[in-house]
Amino acid sequence: MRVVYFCLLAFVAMPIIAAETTIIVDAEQVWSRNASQIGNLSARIELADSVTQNTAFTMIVRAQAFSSDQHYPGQPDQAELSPVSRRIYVDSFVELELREFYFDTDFEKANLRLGKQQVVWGQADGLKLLDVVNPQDFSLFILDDFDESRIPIWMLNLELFLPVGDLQILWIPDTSTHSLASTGATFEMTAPFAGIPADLPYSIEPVDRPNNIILDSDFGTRLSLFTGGWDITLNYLYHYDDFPVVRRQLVANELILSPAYERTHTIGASASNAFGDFIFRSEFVFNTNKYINTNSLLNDGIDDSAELAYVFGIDWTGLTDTFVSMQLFQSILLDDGDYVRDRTDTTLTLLLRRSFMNEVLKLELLAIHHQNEGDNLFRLSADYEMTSNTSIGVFGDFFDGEPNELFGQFNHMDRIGFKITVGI
Amino acid sequence: MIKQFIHNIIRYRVAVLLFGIIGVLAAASFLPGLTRDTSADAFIPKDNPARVYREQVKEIFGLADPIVIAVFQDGEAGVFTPEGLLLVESLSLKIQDLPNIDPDKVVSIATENNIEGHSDGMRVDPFYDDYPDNIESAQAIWRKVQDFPLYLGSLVARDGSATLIVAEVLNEQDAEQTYLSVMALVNATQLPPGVTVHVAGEASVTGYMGVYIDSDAQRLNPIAGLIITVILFLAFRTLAGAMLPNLIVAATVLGTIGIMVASNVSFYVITNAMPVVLIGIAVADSIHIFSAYYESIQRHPHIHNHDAVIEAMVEMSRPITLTTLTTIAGFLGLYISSVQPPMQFLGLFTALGVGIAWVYSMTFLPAAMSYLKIKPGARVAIQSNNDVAVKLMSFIGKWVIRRPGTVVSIGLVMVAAGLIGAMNIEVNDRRIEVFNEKEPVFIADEKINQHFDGTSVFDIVIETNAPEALFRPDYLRKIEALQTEIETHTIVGGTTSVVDYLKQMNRSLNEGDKAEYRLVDDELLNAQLFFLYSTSGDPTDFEEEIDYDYQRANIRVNLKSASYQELKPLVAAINQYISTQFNEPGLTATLSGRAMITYEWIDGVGKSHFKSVIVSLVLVFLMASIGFRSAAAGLISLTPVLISILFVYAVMALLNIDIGIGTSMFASVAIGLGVDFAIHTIDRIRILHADGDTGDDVMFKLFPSTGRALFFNLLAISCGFGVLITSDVVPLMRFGAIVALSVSTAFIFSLTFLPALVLLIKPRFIYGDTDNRAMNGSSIAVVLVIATVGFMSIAPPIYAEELTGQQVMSRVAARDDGTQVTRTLSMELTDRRGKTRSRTTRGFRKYFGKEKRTVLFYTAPANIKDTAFLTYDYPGLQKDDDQWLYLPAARKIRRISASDRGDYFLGTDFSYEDIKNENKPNLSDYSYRRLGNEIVDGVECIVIEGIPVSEDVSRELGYGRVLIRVDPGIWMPRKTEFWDIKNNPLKTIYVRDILLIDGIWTTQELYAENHKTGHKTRFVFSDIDYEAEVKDNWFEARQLRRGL
Repeated sequence: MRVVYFCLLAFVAMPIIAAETTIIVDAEQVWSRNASQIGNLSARIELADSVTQNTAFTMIVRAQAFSSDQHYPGQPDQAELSPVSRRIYVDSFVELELREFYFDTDFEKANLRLGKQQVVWGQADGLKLLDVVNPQDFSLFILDDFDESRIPIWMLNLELFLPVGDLQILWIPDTSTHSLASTGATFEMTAPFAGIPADLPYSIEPVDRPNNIILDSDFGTRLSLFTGGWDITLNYLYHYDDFPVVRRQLVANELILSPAYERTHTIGASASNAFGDFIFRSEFVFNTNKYINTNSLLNDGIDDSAELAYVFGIDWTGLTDTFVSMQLFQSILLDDGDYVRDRTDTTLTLLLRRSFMNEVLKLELLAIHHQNEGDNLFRLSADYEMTSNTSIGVFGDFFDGEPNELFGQFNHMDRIGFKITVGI
Repeated sequence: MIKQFIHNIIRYRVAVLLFGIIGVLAAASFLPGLTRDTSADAFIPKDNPARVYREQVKEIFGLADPIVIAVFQDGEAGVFTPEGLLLVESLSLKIQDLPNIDPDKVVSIATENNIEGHSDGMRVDPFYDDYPDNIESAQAIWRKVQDFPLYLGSLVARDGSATLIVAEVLNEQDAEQTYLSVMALVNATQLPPGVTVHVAGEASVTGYMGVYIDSDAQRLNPIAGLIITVILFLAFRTLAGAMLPNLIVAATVLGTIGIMVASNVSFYVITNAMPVVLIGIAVADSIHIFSAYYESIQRHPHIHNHDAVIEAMVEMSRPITLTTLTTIAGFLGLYISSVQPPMQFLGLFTALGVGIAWVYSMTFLPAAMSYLKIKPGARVAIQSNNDVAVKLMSFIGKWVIRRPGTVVSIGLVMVAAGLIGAMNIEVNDRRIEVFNEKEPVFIADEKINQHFDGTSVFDIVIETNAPEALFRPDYLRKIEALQTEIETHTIVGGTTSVVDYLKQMNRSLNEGDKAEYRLVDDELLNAQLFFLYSTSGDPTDFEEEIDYDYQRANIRVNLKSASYQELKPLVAAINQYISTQFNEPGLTATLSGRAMITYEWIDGVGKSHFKSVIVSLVLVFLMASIGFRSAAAGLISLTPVLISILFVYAVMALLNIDIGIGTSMFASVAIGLGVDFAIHTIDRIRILHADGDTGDDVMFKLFPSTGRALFFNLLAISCGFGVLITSDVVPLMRFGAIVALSVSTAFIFSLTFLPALVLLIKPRFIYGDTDNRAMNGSSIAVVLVIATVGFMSIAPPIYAEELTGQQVMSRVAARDDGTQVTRTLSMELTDRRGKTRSRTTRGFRKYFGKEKRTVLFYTAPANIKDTAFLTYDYPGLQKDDDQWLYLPAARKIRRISASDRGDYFLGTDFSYEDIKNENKPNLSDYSYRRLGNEIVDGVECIVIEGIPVSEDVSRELGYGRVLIRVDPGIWMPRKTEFWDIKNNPLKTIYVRDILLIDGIWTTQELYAENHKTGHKTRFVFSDIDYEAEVKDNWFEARQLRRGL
């Protein structure tokens, strides 16, 4: 534990050099149905200062200590992340991470943001659709806050303020991909990535990862418009799908698994507007190449399909202090194939939020229902703002379904917990 | 089945040909009964309230569309010379004798009476009382007219250079003949030197339009036929290939118009577009059949002619049936969604014509083709590598196959450009612009508008609830005020009503004293004035201004222009004025007249345009989906037309072309015609695929064969419409140009974007079997339809004037609060137990015209730092405000609803409305009453009670009543009490620490106390600066994410 205190101290000392400093300390304790428990203490330090009249920098560092080594057992090699984006493990309980570090330069009609950062596209709740620029950390499955689970990456982010709207241009040489919970971790995923016949010996080939910062870099652009009351974006990203494609071959009665990352063009759009008490939100994504595991070993057990996915959301604020939101997510594989997943995958979400006592107390329920298999995730939380700088909260996450289903696989991981957040 | 059918057609070919010819002749026998209706009224359904009302007004005041003859004379004396005035008299007399002219309704200086004052009272005498046979008496008339303000600008040019003869027609349907006889009369008249005569007016426009369009159509339709024949010959290089399709065209056009006449439907202005549309469609079917026929001969040089015909028909019957169904669907879309009868009939009968073309192409054409002889060794002009069309298409094909991604991206860019364009398109038209600007009626219209108050008129009908009520001075004053209000608009040339006559009569009674040109406040005197007039003049002189029992009156408004875009704000402003300032129990005003009819129907054109686009798209989609048995195929078929329509929108926006009578129909026509290219392309790709060709091979075969046929199909259609570009009828010219452009675009995208899309997404309806496909396709369709409907619902913003309220609150509302401000706001929120939470924000506010934008960035505490709130507050109630909230934890900018104005702002005791308004009332929300005075903070304040104007507003605001203490020295409230909607005390807001900063009275503290919850909020403003730079781009949503 001494190491933890030492690191925290070091981090707290650093900000003295910057003009604007924000520190948020979080303490969390979680109990799971499988009788495991984990405590987490994290400090997030944000520094910002201007360098020249037009240029400023922002740096966000996060230190985390866990009471038990469950999320990433041991000190993982983080091969899925590019070497410059990896976390530092003090030991298997304590980690440090440079979350964000970027320089902003303002021009007359443009802004350049260079460095490690998060770029958020789309505004769906609970699940991600158009939010594909940054890879995600799945060590807590999808339970972590998006801001925390998004893996910031190094990129060039240029925004041009054109008369028609804002044009964002991204060049992303950072080849990091999703961090999936490793074998033996709490949230190791099994269900949707299955497809290995039982009692068949198998071996895994080295992963074929994108690693050339020029040839394997991603490129994206987004045009944002505000017209006739509508917020509209048109998006395009040429990138590696952040999930690996696992090809399977049967060689001498042994299954050879060869994971590799594949490129796709993602064409997207979003539109939202307010109509009285209702907010309409929508996002559309078209992926030219989605590689999906099939039920046979033909064609290396993989089939390529175009994918159309969209979300429609309706928010309603007709009742004072109350927010109700419903979303329909649907992903459709446009080509025929004997996929392990259904061709059309539908998810519904319901978000209820109500605040009390001048927004001092907030209650929230998020229900996610996976239509195809009927499994669910229910998330409940209550937050109370004790003082301006301190809030406490309790929460519970409940999975429902069979072990081979997306949410059902974590049925044994239902959890409750409490959390204290202090801002300095 | 098809094979057997064609076989039978050939077997009984004589009967088929005979029946075909008899059918056409039977339909054509109705043609002599064709009636033409070129009136603007035709565009308004008979039961439209505006039209019904106008008919009533016509009855009451005897108003009808006039023919206006203007006599101009050069020289100092203007038209007031003996020869000028005598010409006016002789023309007036001759015109009275013309048929269909109402002799009692020919008005000119030669027929009208002057009202003059004399020592013994009022005298009403003809202007020509002193006969103008010498220059002195002519000039004396000019002086009389100058002394009679009623006729200046309306009957006589203000500079005396011209005067009008206004002749009303009895029957507007016969206006064409009347216009021609007036023109003949004018042309036969020997004009004195320096005199010119122009003929214009609504009845002339209506009358001449018929002649004009007729001659245009007679010139254009043969040219279109000729050009298409040339193209057919180029395509097939055989006489049969060039002539047989023309037979189908003739059968289609004659048959359709014949049936139209038989159904008692008139030929409207826009029906002229129908023959050209039908020519294009009829010829397209033939082109594809002939292409297939020659291709089959080329494949099997020794084939028997009958077998070649059968093979061609078997191959083409499916795609041409499909294109027929989709095209019919497109035009039925126009029929279903239009509210205007001419458009409806155009949609309906074109759809019928498309059906006729199909029937003849499926029966008559193969029967006729069976008589052809294949000459062994004859040159077949298909697929030889020397053919320019083949080379061109192969080149395009190779390019597309190599770069499908680029092609699709270009398409998407065009969609984006088109969407932006579509939002910038305006609805506008002027009826006179149907004519080429060199036409005499156009020149006459321009010239008369220059010298007079305007040729376009509308009427405002004043109705009271009792006979003789219009003698009441207060009513007359209101009419006078209404006229004054209307005359402030620049497009208004002048107004005339009974008020003007009363003023002139009053003046006459007072010996012509100019100061007495006014209304008198004496009901009895007004009645006497009318009585006096009737004793010395003709009582029917006022027929057009007031009815016989003085219950209803008419204000005639002359307009310099009848352009919809200029009319729209005028109509809105007058209606607004009438409802807020004029109408009262017993007195109402209603707009009517020709300009209103024009306004109504152009309004209808704009409203139905987007609707018909959607309906056509949906119908075409359904047809194509059913035809291909795949919703995805239906959807993909739509993409080229969708892109082409959006592209045309973009071009229209770029070139400032408005949606008007001609341009509004383009989209439905373009959808109906353009989708054919996509359907032929998809069908061919499918067939080639089914034949075992794969991947790029399909594409390499597609372009030289189907591509070539489509290319000639395009040439035929676009040249057919291209001919319309040479039309003198301006709307037809625009219509032709736009359809040619959109069809060409649809062709290009059908042969580039569509194959590229197929290569990229490898749809299952081509690459695999078809089960299960439809479901996914339909979910995509739902997405598309929702997206399209969503996009179409983007209406252009409507601004309305804010209502003026009681004076004090108006002063408060008008208080200067700077065009911009920068400030820091510290909030203290204290709950009933005394526990306090605090927040700090940096805020900016700036006015963009009347629109107010406010942005607030939270800087402390750390937990909610970087939260940001942006609002666009639009003036008036028509448009909801736009609001965004940025939550740093989610890194998302969320739209938030602005309708709950009464909700509390982020945990404070101020509502969103309080925050936005900043101590300024929204005058339209409350009706205010002054209760007295009260001392607040040592200052004597005016106490104002505000009650929400309606229960809805009360519910929205969350307030049932407010009590405001306004400091009259600075026009700022110092204390406001609020009651909830059930009238319980709710909260009190104190405005404290008021200082003059940069010359603006500014509060530094706002304190709100909620009496129900015991919660309190203190806002302390600091670092207030009205002069520091506030950049426009700080109020962009993206700035929320970027922070300060």
